[in-house]
Amino acid sequence: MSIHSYFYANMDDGKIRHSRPLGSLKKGTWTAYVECLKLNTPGQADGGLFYATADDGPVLSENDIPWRDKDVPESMIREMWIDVFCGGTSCGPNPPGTISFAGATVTKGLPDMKDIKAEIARLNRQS
Amino acid sequence: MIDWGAVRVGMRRHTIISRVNVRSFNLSLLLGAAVLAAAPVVLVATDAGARQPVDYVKKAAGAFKRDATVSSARIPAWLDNDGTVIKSVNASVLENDKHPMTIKDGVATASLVERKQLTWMAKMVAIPPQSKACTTVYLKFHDDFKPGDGGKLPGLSNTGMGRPVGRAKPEMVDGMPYPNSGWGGRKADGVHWSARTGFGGWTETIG
Repeated sequence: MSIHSYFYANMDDGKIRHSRPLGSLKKGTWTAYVECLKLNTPGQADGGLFYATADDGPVLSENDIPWRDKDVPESMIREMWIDVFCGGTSCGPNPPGTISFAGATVTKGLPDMKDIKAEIARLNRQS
Repeated sequence: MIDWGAVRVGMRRHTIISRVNVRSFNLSLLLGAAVLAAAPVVLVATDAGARQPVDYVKKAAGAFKRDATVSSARIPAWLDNDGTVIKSVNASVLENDKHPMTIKDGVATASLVERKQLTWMAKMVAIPPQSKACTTVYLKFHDDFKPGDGGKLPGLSNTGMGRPVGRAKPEMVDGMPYPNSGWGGRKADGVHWSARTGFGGWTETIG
């Protein structure tokens, strides 16, 4: 199933939201993705967004995102948003089905993909 | 008598030639994909003023196809290998979520069996403020999962809604009020932003 980045940043292009394709995640088995984010220097478009998936490795690296324009504690990375839903406002013509969530780990930097694959294997053995 | 030295040299040459062939093949695939990607632009150029309505059925059907434009990315220089854990978010964090689900053996599972249901799970978790961080999200899309028109998945954010107290009130920054924003059509305001993930229904122009 295809996935994409979906972000709101302080861009000056008139768009509210931005998106980039990230490839695919498998259906019917446990999977994982890693999202890494670096805040920008206020006034400069040097913020970063990086994604890797368990199946495909690194799939996105952007380094020109102006997340914020104020260097204050209130503009830092402060939330992990466990947000799983359809749309916007619609799930399409069919019942959307079932999703499981086994957790999320926030780390200082890039975690070891071997550890992630080991956790996926454990979850698959458990289910 | 077998000259093993010659055999090894031969094998090495064969490996190198194979790699060159694979690279040439990959390059051909990339060029082909580029031509295909450019074709719609060329085709609609004669009718550039007309905007086609979104075909959601087609988008949903395409959600299971791998996006040919995605290739491997380089790990950026700003990103260190550092698995030091800042916060572990277990499935148990969803125990008080109002959306119906089962939590068993550390796994939260939710089914949307009616078309009108939109949300599997929703929880904002506060983390210690960081200038740089990664999150690893473990998910399973079951066999009955249908992406429909697409949707959202977990990610890092700073909307203002993760504050432990007073989250409904605007944050005061430099004497100015900054309401929660950076989500749901509320534009990023220079303080607040979000970087969730999406599934299915990808389109570059999303407003």
